[in-house]
Amino acid sequence: MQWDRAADIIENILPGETVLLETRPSYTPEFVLKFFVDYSKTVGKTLVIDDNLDALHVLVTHLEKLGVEIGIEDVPVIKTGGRKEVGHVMAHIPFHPDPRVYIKNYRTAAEELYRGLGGGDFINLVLGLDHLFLHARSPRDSYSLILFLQDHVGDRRRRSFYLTNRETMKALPFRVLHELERISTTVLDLVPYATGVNVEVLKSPKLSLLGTVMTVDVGGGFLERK
Amino acid sequence: MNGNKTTLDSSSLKELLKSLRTGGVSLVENDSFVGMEIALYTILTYARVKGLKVTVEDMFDTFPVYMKHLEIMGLNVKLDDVNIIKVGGTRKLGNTILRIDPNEDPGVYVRKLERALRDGGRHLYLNVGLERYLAFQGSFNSVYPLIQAVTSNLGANERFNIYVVDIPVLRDLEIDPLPLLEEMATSVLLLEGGGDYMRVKLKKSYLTLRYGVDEATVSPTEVVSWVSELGGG
Repeated sequence: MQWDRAADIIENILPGETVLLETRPSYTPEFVLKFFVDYSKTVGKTLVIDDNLDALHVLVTHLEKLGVEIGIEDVPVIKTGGRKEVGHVMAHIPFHPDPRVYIKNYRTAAEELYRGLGGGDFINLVLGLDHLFLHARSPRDSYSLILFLQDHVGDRRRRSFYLTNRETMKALPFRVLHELERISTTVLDLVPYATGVNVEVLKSPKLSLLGTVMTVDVGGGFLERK
Repeated sequence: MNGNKTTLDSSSLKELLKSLRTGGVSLVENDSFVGMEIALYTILTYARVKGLKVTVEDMFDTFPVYMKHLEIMGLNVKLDDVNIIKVGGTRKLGNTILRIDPNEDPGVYVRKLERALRDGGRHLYLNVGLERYLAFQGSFNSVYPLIQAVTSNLGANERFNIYVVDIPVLRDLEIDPLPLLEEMATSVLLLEGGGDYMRVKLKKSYLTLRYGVDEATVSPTEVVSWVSELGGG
């Protein structure tokens, strides 16, 4: 896999950024997870995964079936709802259908976890966001979540990557994809092809990057066990 | 209608800004990824250079998130003397002169707003995030007085009125008030397209009548550099 190509893309992301990674049904989320786990270890940065409603379990199981090893045991995980504990679950936030309750619980738990990890410059990968929005009962619920995500924009302790399936987002009862695109500082469109992903920069604070497309070929190398 | 296309340069951008009239309502529609950031940067810098006082009506913290984006882009905007009317939301920025509860009766809301703007003298009123208010309300009846308030801005002869709306968000709503807003607006400008070029469409503009040009392409990078020069870096 062309990890270097993917790393080049990520190196362009500034601290405090909120990055939306838009995927389509494919193994793209699995590649992305595997990439972030490997990349964070290579560059020596702490990866914190937000696992909403067992999304991590799904991806890790698929990787296992593909025969890909992923050293996820030590990766700090903030788990919201769900039952399948994967990775090093450091905070467990019960899901609550009222986003205001959930957000309050999340803030407290996440702050404590980030303090515990010391220092800044985390990479934060958020999985299963679409499932949180699926539980929204009204536009107000959706907007509570949007404003909550928006609050983190510019928090220089972390660079956050939200992995979302754009087709699921478009099928939500209250559509929020465009709000997510608007509050994000970078939007990357991940378009799969047979053995890899074309990454198009739809939005970036670095205006010169707008419209650029980078190919990350995953190919057979991804499948070779190390 | 035969439109003419051109490339936007720094002098035509200045002319576009100069074509704003007090007592008119300008609608800036964004259907691009960085258009809103660039439009706000341009408007706020221009107002500061012209010594024009600015009052922003910020719906549900929409304005602060754009300002955060500009900061990350390395673009500075001075907000100390910008007056803010907050409708919902919690983020403080600039100088808050009024807070309106989004659950307030729209009629009462509009009266409070009008009172706050009335004695501002010659200034620029900028509305940011109207689409979020519409999403919150979710019914046309409750939104109608607010749309009518747009009309009441017409003819307030000491004030420039600009509404910036994000089209994709608006389109996701059950109620699309865009045709109504366009009808009421004195001038309408649409920013669209992705990649390293953006299209500026003049849907309703004095410049279209005067020069017969209704579409211009421009690179966001260029606009930012012109505006930075305008604002003294």
